[in-house]
Amino acid sequence: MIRLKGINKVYKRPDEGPLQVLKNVDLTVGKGEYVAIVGPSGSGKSTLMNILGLLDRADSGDYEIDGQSVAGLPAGTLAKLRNTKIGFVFQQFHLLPRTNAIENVEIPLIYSNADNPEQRAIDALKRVGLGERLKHYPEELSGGQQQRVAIARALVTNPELILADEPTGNLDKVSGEDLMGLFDQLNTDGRTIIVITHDEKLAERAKRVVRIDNGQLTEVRQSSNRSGATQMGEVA
Amino acid sequence: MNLKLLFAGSARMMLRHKTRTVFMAVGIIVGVSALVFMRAMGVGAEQAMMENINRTFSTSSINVLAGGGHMGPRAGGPVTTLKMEDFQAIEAAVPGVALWGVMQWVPKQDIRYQGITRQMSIYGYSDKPEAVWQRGIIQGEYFSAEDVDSASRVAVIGTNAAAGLFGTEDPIGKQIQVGSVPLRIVGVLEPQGIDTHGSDKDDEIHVPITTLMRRIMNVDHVFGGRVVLDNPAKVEAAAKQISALLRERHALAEGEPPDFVAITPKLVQDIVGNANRVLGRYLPAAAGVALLVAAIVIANIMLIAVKERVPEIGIRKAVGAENGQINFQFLSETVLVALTSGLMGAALGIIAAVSYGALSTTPMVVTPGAVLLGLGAAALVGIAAGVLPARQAAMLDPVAALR
Ligand SMILES: Nc1ncnc2c1ncn2[C@@H]1O[C@H](COP(=O)(O)OP(=O)(O)OP(=O)(O)O)[C@@H](O)[C@H]1O
Ligand SMILES: [Mg+2]
Repeated sequence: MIRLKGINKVYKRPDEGPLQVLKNVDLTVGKGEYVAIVGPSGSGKSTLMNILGLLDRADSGDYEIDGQSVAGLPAGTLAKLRNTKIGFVFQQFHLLPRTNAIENVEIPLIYSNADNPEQRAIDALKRVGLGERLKHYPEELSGGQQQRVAIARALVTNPELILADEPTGNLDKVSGEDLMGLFDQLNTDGRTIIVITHDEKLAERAKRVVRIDNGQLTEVRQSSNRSGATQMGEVA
Repeated sequence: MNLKLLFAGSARMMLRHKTRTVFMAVGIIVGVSALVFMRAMGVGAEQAMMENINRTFSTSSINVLAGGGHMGPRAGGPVTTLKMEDFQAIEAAVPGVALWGVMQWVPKQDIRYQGITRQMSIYGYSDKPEAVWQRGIIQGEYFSAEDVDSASRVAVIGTNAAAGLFGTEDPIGKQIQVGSVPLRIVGVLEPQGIDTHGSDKDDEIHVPITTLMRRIMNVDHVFGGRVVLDNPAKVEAAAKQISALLRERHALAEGEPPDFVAITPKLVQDIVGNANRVLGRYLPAAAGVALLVAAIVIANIMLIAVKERVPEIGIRKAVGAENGQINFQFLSETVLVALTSGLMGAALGIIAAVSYGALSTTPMVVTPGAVLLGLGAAALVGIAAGVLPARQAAMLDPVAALR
């Protein structure tokens, strides 16, 4: 469903010279895949994620999503694609404070024309196991529960692709494992998942691992063979 | 876009940031309530003035005054060319004259009663003064046509004048003295309060015009007169005929300025209406300043709010909000605050105006127009204050916002 070809991204910095963060990146992710992106800090993972998520544009190269090239699309169309095809999960959860779980999960539906938003939000929260916490504020939830609300928000428009940038980065071990289980479940249900992680365990659970080093992408493992995780010792 | 969700979110935002909301609201509440209150005062004053005018200048009458200018005193002494005969000629020549009367007056005369002296104006009227000048008698009676014919030494007196001279005693039959002329009180005038020139209409006496002209002032001209027509529709045409007739009778040459003025109700309303319109511009200007300050305050608070809400805006964009939708959302938040405050301000203004009207003698009239004006102004403030912050929010780069 996703095809990157020759993607380059250069940040112009006023003080120092330009910084090329992505170098000729090629990546094809099929429907239903579960891909982990690993790599050292500053290697360009988040930059790649922003491009994949249509929050940022590449300087050159082709990006096709479901066969449609996004390079020339106007901002409004990109927003619509984000709304319908992509769900984001962030390390910092990014929930609205003093806004209950249902209201947080409803946010993507403000910008769509879906009917019955409240019911959809409740269904999404039930799917992530928060059926009992519908009216709770983020301040009243544990980190793991907050991240589940964020996942429910990513799921509420029923997107095919989930993009997660270090989703376990702010979670304790147990919550992190819970979340991995949830991702496994979503993938089993047929959703495409791309997750950036420093977490060895999370990368292990992905069916495929790619690595970015200094802006260059290399394939690490392309099977569900979990023993491949030993290759990632340096990442963690 | 789901507006219901969006507005629900905006309402939550307002409630969640109570202090911020209150700060945004205060200016608008003050401005709008002041606007509604002042407008109520303005309309009240205008209506009171119009009522006053309609009482003194009924819609079917023309006031003819000596002199080409206004009703006040003139430089170079009084114009003496307007006579009672002029009005007799008008009655004969102008069709549709139902009634007419003439008037002369003299300001600030010493009126004596026993040991007391009181200064007051004396007005002289011809017969049927109640019908012509629309002012009745609450005790006794007005002087009669015979009194006018024979220049009788009788007078009717205003309530304040009577109280000043006679205290609580019955004024009827009392003998007062103007210079060497004794006058017998035959009636008490209906109270009328302060007129548009600021003089107390209840501190004067009325006598037959003949008595005033021959016995007190020793003049043969009148100050003016009133011609009442049988139909208001005839007023404008009659005024033209009166002007032509008087020019001819006073032997005025072509192009010479008139030595009289014929005032029609329309003319008066135009003049007063104009004065009120000027007044109506200054009053809301004060409220306008309050609203301008409110707009600046709101714009600044919203700009700060946008800075605080950067991650929120990033999230909204990430989940699919278009720039235009973010823009609309922030703008509608400001407008929502502004309109809510506007409603509160309007309610406050109405309550203040009605209470003030009830507790004081100032006439206050709240009109739907004033309330709509207030709400419109509030919405305008919301839009004006919201445009810039909303634009900033919409232009935020989501990647930077989420970092
Ligand atoms: N807007 C920007 N302007 C200039 N340089 C930037 C900008 N955004 C990112 N960079 C730089 O680009 C490089 C890649 O950043 P990126 O956030 O993609 O790394 P990352 O792999 O996600 O790192 P981490 O694991 O720490 O999150 C870094 O050196 C970063 O400083
Ligand atoms: Mg990163």
